[in-house]
Amino acid sequence: MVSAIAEMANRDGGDRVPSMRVGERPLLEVRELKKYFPIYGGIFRRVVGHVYAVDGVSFEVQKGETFGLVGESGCGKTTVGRTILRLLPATGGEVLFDGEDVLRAGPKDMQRLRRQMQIVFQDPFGSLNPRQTAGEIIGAPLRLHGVTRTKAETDEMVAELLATVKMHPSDAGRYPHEFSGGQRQRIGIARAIGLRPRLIICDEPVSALDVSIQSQVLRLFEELQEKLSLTYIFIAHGLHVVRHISDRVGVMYLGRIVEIGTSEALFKSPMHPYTRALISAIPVPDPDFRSQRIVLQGDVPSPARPPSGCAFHPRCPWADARCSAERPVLTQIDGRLVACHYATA
Amino acid sequence: MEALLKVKELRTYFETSDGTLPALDNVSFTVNRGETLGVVGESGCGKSVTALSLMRLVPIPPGRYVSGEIIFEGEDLLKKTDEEMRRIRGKDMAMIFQEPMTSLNPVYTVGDQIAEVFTRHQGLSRREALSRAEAMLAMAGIPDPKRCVTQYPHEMSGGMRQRVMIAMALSCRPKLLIADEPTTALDVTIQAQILEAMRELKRELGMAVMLITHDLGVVAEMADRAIVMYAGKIVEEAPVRDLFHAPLHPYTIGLHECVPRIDKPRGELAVIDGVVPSPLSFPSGCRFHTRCRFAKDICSTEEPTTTVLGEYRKVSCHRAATMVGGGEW
Amino acid sequence: MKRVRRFMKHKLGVIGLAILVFFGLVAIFAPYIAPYDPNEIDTSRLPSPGMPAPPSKDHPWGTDDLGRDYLSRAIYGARISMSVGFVSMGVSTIIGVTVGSIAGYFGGQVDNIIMRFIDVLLCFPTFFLLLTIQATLKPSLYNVMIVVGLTSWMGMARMVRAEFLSLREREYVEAARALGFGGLNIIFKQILPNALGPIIVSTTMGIPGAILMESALSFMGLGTQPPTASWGSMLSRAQVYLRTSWWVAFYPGLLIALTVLAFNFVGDALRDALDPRTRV
Repeated sequence: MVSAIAEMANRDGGDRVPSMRVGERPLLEVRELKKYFPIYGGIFRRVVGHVYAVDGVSFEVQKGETFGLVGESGCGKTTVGRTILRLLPATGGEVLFDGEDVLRAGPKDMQRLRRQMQIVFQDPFGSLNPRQTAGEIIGAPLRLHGVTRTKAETDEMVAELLATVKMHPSDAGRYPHEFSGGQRQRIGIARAIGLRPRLIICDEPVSALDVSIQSQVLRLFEELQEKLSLTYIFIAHGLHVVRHISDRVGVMYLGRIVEIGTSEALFKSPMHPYTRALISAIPVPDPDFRSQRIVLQGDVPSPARPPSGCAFHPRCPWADARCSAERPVLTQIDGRLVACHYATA
Repeated sequence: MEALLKVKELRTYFETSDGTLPALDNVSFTVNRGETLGVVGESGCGKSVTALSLMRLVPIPPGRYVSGEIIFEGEDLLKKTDEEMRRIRGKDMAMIFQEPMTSLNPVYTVGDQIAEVFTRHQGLSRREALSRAEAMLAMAGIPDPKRCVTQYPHEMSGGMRQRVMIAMALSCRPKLLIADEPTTALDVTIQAQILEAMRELKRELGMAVMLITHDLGVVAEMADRAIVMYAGKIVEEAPVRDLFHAPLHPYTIGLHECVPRIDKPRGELAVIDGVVPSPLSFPSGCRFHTRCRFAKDICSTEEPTTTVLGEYRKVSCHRAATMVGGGEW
Repeated sequence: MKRVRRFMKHKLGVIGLAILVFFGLVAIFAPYIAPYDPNEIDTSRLPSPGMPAPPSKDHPWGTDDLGRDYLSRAIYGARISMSVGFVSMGVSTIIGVTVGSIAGYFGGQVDNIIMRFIDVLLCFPTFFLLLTIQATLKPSLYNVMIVVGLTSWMGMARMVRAEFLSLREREYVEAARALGFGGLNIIFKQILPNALGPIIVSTTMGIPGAILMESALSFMGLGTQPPTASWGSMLSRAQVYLRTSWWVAFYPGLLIALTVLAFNFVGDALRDALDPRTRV
């Protein structure tokens, strides 16, 4: 059996490209991305306000790297992923995939782009159609995009994909409910890589799994990245997972990115107070470990009524008058981007 | 230390159309007064059934307490009548759940729900009960308890609801609080708040806590001792420091290695192969042998006995038993 | 084939199917089975004028008030009742599912317009609607079937729309969109199969309603014309004799009840057979 999967690996050179290579065009550029959800109210269901789910998010993802996107629920990280793929229409901004405008692409171009950008979902129960077999789920997109032309070809490819995600070819005939959470997630991954995408948006792909299964799936992601020279956007709220898998990480709070840096640097010396609090809040599996925890007071404000100035100022232990009046912009400090008035190297 | 709760050889089975499901199989452990016992395990390991069994909340049928004893303050809970259990629940023993939204009644205000506990268990008047509810909420760290008592659950955030649940659970000063994944559904910063609140309340009220979680970090932070469960059995029991610095059971070791650490340099992630076995077809011998990297022939044929290394240091593993005895594996 | 096997494992479903097949055969072969001409009036069979004759050896189900053999009428009535049930529910399901899918899938303004239109239709009592339409058409069986179908799809449409609204937010639908699948695939492959359960249940529940609706129309003189027998019309004629002659209400009532049950059993079995998640 000629391995189509190995072929795809060769196409892009195979080697993992180090991140932030100077002078090369990033695979994905997101510029000032905005997504507002209207709030309807009154008896006439008029728009009475907006939820500012994503409010001016910009970042770049280099070929072959893993870009982590972290934040708490409601920060807009999932919406960013959905908007990039146009599963949700953007309110404003630009998304360039290999230089091509995604948000304004016509139907034909979009269909071609879809092959190159895929998504793996969080919920291993909800992301597979319960009425289709694993084979149908993985095989249908192959036929749709003409990756395979006959049923025999499709079956062969499905078997190969299943093997790639470490499942048995005979699993193709089974329905999603017959699999465990981890296996379902593997099927979701097989479906995504079947079209030989260059970018995969992983939206909380391991959050719903048991810890011992999480590590298996994370390993699989790492192996596939190497084998198929994939680029990932890894969205998660579990910081230890993001740190492990990402080359660079963006931290989101209330629809905006507050800090971007390499995984190593960002977790070692967070600059933004929110990043610092977030990292210090993670329970460390070592009873002798005593960190200086910053316990943030209060809840994340509603994205429908974001605070003035720096959105984090009501919870920030160091906030002053300037923070509530003036919104900080992402500024380069010491090879990192931070949106805080008082960030210093 | 004085034992508050002693579970002895408890077996809780479920009868389903597919056969008998041994959710808890021969589980024994102790919770001492005022201590925090961590219960660690993955889905289906029996940790939630343990909690429900202690509260006698396992639905019967399909559930069945096959054998064993649950000695709480010297009395066997399995011998109590339903009426007696109702008095114990909420008063001497209380429980909080993972999803606070579903455990609060959406049509009553928070104040009413907490007040009901007081009126029922302590016979207070409604007005007294409400003011006690307010005090409890303040204790659980709710910033504006006056307003909170008049609010409905859906008007609050997840973290606030969990605080309400805690306030409600602790309102009668129970001797044992069972917390089943109390922070799993919450964000990390909110989790930190809740854990902090729980620690503080424990200091103040001195109750024992049984903290069920899959997060070893939470155990390290909160627990004095811990038990690790796998496939309906306790595979290891240890004081928390031993559990983290000298784990004996391969499953515990695996759990430690397969979670990326925030406090250590990044490295390759270890993996526990295979899937969590279905309770309908637990493997023979040691139930972990199918996923154990150290497994030998004996593991699949013979069920390991519990090796006791100390009052609170036990492990059920052939390899650990051999090695503790000075043998080679 | 697998689905047929799954269906066959459902005992009640098989019983229901057997009943329906039996009734269907009876309807088809009515002229060969019926012991008498169903419309033959013979007052000499009556114990006293205007009083239905009780079951006897010659007339095992008795006669009606005009001395017509009740068993024969019931056998012929199966033709009308079964076809009204099937055809009108077929019409209403097709319209309801189509309209509901469109409203639920597209949402927004399309949904708004369709739903308000349905609300308007629902404002009229169904029966009144039926009467209006039926009055403008020639009374005939076919008109009854079409009209019952045309006036009973709104509930189905609402339900299908609600199913679509919730199902289209599922991640597997998003996944399909992310993979580049178009609207038709999403409607027919991703959403509709998952909405089948409630659709089947609602259809099978609707059939008895249609059978009764036909009888009501017939009673008003707008449906099947006398002397043609249908179970519904038999039942409505029986009202007068409830106290004195139980059989005139009992037999058609029993037949309708059996049909209702049979359809419900078959519906349940179908739903389970088509859903890979249920084990049978």
